[in-house]
Amino acid sequence: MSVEVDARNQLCPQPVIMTKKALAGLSQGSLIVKVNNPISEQNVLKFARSQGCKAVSKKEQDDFIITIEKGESSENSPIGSSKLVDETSVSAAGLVYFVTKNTLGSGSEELGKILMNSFFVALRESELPEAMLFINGGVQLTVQDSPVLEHVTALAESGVTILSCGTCLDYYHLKEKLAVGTVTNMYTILETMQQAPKVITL
Amino acid sequence: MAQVLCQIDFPMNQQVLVGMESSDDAGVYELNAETALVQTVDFFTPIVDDPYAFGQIAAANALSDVYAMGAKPITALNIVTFPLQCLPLPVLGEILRGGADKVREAGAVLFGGHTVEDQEPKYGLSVTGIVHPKRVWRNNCPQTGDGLVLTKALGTGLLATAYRADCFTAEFEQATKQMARLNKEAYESAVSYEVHACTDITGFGFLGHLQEMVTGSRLSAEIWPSTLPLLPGAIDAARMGLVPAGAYHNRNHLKNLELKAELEDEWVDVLTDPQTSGGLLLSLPWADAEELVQKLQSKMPIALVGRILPDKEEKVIVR
Repeated sequence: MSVEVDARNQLCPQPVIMTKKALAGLSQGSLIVKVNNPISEQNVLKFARSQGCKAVSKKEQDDFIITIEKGESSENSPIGSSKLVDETSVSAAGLVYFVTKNTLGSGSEELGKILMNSFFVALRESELPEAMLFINGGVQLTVQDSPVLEHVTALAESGVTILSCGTCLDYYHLKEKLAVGTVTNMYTILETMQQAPKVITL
Repeated sequence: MAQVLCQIDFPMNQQVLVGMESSDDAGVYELNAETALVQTVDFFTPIVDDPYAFGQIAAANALSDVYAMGAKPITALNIVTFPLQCLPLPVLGEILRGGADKVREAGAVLFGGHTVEDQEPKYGLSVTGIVHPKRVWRNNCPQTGDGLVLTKALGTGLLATAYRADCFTAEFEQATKQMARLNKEAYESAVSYEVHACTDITGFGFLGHLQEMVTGSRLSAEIWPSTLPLLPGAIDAARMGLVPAGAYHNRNHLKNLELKAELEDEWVDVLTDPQTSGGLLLSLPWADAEELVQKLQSKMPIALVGRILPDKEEKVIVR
């Protein structure tokens, strides 16, 4: 079963809006979107793929015919795509973790590292935060050879924003070794904490 | 535009320190040994719904070109078009109030302007600034080893597009606040360092303006995408194809770009996203760049994002 959308001569972002609406109304099958400029073609392809759909484009004279397959995979698409369907889910969780060292608790450092690993294992099973901010010793957890890299990467792939302080990465000479998330600065760290409904410091 | 401009013989004289030849942010004219005049104009159609916010953003955008020359704005004039038949007069009042408040914040005066009736509203300013003739920040003379510092986050074009699709509305609010912010504090701090080159990031996108910086310099620039300050939601908007046409046009105008092979499309979109009232991009000695970032990082999303290399090919390299 296929549905057709004629988005020719529509200005950006209309072709993406029209594709979004048609895709939302389609439980399965394919959607055919017609556009007649390469910018709309690129944007519709990007949108479809961000929703976990397969999308291919074919040129027919002056038109681009984009075929989008909405299969089962779109049900498992990452949280990033659900942001389009429900705007409020972007900040629904809102929780921010402020990770200030690479160990959990004080006392034995060896135990602290073990506890940090257990913490991330438990976190992956529970309600995901909006963001995690890594500062000072905490930046050792987001770089290559981090003992919890696999967990932080999985959280990032599930839509958690991972931010590591640039000054700290520089201090520990780890800037080139950042393995997950992006570099941030004190201004953004402060802003993120002030806007969050709840901040938990480790 | 370049095709049209090159056909015209514009009047010039020896007092002109910066003219049209380098596509710089403003013209600079030497009055005497201590003072040079900086002159610029910028106006555009609304990108936000609120008229006061539109006035603030358009004014901040025009004032930015003076800061980008290392100059202090002193006077401004309004440039307005307005559809009197379609929009109520109080809307015009709000736009002008937004502009006036922003000029006041910059410490300059606004003492006139011109309004023309038209089918759609446009607003902006003509701004005059002053600078010492020997301390002008041109846009195209970085030096080898310089650090590149950016003072605002990228992504306003993407978020404006997303907003038109009813997405990322909260993130667009944040972008609006940034667009209305003056580059005054960044300029006032940077002026005590040895800035070699400066421009502000606007319609050509980050890479487009960086390309202007290396063109004619016989040097190249490399940047590190993971260090770039980004507005929240910008990368997600790019991933979802909410990319303005301007980003694609900017991409097509890049001449000597080297992209790291595995760079995802959404990063290219952010790097070419046309900005409104963006930050300053400064090229200054590495140690000064680090110190400037340290000094201002609690006040704005400032970051050290790249460096100038001695490669004569005038490349822009994204690692």
